[in-house]
Amino acid sequence: MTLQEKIEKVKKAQEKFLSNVDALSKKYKQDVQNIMKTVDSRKIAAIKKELGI
Amino acid sequence: MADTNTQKIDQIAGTEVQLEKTLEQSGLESISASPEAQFESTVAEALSTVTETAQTAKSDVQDYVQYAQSQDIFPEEFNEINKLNLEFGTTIDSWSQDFNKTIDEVKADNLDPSIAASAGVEPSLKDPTLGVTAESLRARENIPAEAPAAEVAIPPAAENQPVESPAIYDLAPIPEKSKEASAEPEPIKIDIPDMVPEEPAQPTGYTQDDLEDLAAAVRAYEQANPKRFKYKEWTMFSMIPSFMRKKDAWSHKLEIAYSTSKAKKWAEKILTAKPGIEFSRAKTALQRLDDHRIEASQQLLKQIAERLKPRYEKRKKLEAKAQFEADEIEKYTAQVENYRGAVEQWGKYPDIMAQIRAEIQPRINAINKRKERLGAIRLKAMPLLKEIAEMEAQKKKYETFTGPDRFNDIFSKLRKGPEKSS
Repeated sequence: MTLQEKIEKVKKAQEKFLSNVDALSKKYKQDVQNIMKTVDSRKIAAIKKELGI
Repeated sequence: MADTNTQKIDQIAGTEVQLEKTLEQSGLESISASPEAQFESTVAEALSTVTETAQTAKSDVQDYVQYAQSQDIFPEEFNEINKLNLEFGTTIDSWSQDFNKTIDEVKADNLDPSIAASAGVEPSLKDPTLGVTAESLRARENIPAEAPAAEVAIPPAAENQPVESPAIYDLAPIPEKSKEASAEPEPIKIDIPDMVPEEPAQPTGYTQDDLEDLAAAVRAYEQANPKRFKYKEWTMFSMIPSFMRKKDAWSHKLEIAYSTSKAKKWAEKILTAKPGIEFSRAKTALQRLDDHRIEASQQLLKQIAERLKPRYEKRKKLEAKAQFEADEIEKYTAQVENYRGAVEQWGKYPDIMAQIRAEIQPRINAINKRKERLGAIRLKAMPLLKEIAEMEAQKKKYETFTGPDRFNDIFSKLRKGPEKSS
């Protein structure tokens, strides 16, 4: 493997890592959002019950 | 063997340093500009980037967890987020290790000069032993590096870092109490029209004052005309018609109380009775008048009751409508009041309160609308209630009019005669 190929391989691995982390972060945020939406729904239901509506 | 290798590694490392110094002194091109230097630089940069990215990603996750905790989430959801968090960390660690492995593999590729030679790679200037570096020797001998450069150290996210709310939600500022919501609620006054007439109807008929007036008049007449008291009884009775003629109010009351033509006929006989000769006739007329009055009163009471009945029903319906509106106003008002309390309690969740408010606003509108309806019902009820009040006053008048006793009082007084002056 030439040095240039090694550099390319390192860069490629770096890009792949960054891309994966980015995708995973997005998915994580989306999952948390969904969970928080559930939380909100439960809170809203609880408040409504409290308000008698 | 290990000692030998270590010495060799140190020797190579020393040789590298010496070579770099030599290059610098000889004015040759800097080693950093060489392909190897580029490679090292790339590796170092990649490691730095990967390390930083992994650290930032983990830190972000921690921020999310702390944010979620700050939202008073339920245990179930908290566990879910925790699980996500763990999976996230594990995955990032795994990828970091993969990356490090790749770096190690790429670096280790220098170890085999035959492979390097077959790939057309010239031995490095840094490696006088034809491609053997200190690191490659360590790898070959399975000696762990003291401070491996490829280690991706991902420090745990600081737990006490200030948490910036991640942009999970569009965290609009907590809405100030808008005019509709914050305006002090108008007190809900359930204003059901007064069903009771303000002034009780005055019963008509002979009052004690009237009788006193009559007696006084009789005494005055007696004093003025003593001879005419020879026939006391009929004379005094004969005073009634003349007195009645003089007293319009009395006559008027009679007319009202005996509102039928038949009653008027009897009353007229009394009013026109002549002294002395028509005593008996007038007395009979008075008795018949009284009898008729009772009958007429009963008849009138019956008529009033019949007229009142549908009006009572109508009033009952209006009262029910008014009560319904009042109840609704009260219910919605309680909800709005509760909402204001909830704003204080849950105000830190503006997005949630915005949704609750969306459901409360129609109720605020409904309160005003129902207040208007209540007012309209009241207006509609007013003439009806006035009518009912008048009828009830009439009813009370006829119910409380005890005619015979009053006439007996008159007769009693008349028969008793004027008081003798001493």
